[in-house]
Amino acid sequence: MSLSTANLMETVKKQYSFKLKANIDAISSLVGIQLVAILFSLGGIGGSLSSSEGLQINFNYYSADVVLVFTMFWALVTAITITTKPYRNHDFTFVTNRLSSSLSNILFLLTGSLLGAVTANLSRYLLQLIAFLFRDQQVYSGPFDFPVFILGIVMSALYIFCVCSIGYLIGALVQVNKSFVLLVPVLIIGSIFLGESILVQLFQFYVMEPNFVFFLIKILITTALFFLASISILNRMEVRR
Amino acid sequence: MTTLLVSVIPIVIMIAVLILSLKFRLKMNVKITHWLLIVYVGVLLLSLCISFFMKSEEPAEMVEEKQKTDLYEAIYSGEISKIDTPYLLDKNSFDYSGESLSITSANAEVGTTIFIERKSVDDNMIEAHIYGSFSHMNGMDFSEKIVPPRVKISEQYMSIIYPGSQVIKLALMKNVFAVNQITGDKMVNGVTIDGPIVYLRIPQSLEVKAGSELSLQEVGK
Repeated sequence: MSLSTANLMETVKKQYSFKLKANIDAISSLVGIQLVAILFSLGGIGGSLSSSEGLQINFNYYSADVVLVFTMFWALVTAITITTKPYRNHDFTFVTNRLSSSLSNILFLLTGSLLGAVTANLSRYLLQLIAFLFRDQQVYSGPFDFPVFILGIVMSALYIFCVCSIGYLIGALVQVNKSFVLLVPVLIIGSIFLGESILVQLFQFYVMEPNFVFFLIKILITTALFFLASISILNRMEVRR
Repeated sequence: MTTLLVSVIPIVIMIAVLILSLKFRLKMNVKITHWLLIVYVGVLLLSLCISFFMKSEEPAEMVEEKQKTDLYEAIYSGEISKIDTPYLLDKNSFDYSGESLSITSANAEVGTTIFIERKSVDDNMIEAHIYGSFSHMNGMDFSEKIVPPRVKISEQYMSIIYPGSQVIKLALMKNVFAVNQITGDKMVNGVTIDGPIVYLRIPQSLEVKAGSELSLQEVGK
């Protein structure tokens, strides 16, 4: 029995700073996956347009879309990974409970999401530079718009963090019952083959939302619900299971 | 089948990189990871800084007037020659005292329209204006890349020599889809091209004929 009273905020803070150091290697996979994504983005997306007066424009678009999608995939895998037993056992170095463990995990995922969002948005400039140096192609990017740059980071972070919450929920479900390892992929693949796919409707609900405030509300509520569900699932587990 | 394979390859490689990095993660020294991150972020920030210097080679920004004026509307109204428009690519004047003029062309697409505005006076002067525009919705004006047709007059003939089919290659950077979702930018429809259009201002009573490949359109009546 401990004689000192453990404060939740203090514990979360300690666990968070420990996890930042212990899970720093997750960042090396982020760098690796973003570099691969940059490589894939080097081809760009081509198109052609012509005027009735004989003018033909062959254009090639470059963007960090692939980098962002790969980063979201990284977030999903990382969120699932930190719910696994070896990672959970790290927590027992401290005075802990399931809630403080989950809260510090969420903080770690938020940090990873922000880092992923910043690097994904910055990677467009690396892409531009590589195209210029190695493909001998001037890629025009237009005037630098700082508010749009910040919007890019915020939007990307929201997407990545939301994917983290999905991954964390999947990880929590798998910890409770291993049959979810099969059930989750079956549910996802099965929904693709449903007539008017649920995935399409979900895509429209989030990705087609043009209003930032509505998008923010949708993503924050979804993320909060997923994390709350994960916390309540993990709370029901016995200590050190 | 090939398309499916090509689209699957990135996913397979992505999964392979993740699995390898997860395995590698256990062995990787913390210091190496720190350095990897510092170098990566450093390279990204350096790329951002270099991109500012690369902007000096970028085209001018589209002027506001161009954004709100429709080129064809201005041409059909016959008002375009009276205003100082940013659509003007080239301008020539020729002294001409004949009563009729035959227009011939080289490298013109069949059905190319030549716009003709009759002046209110017979001043024995023909003005040839070339209008055109090539811009992108991100505000960049690439009109300088358009090679305008050359116009020459000898005796009773005006020859318009088009540069042939012009192919302009252009590489553009787009924002990530997460930004385009809010700003409304689309991936494909960002480029606008008009012209090059030949617009002639001729004396009031000059008779004009043209070859079958050209279509003459009088404007501003």
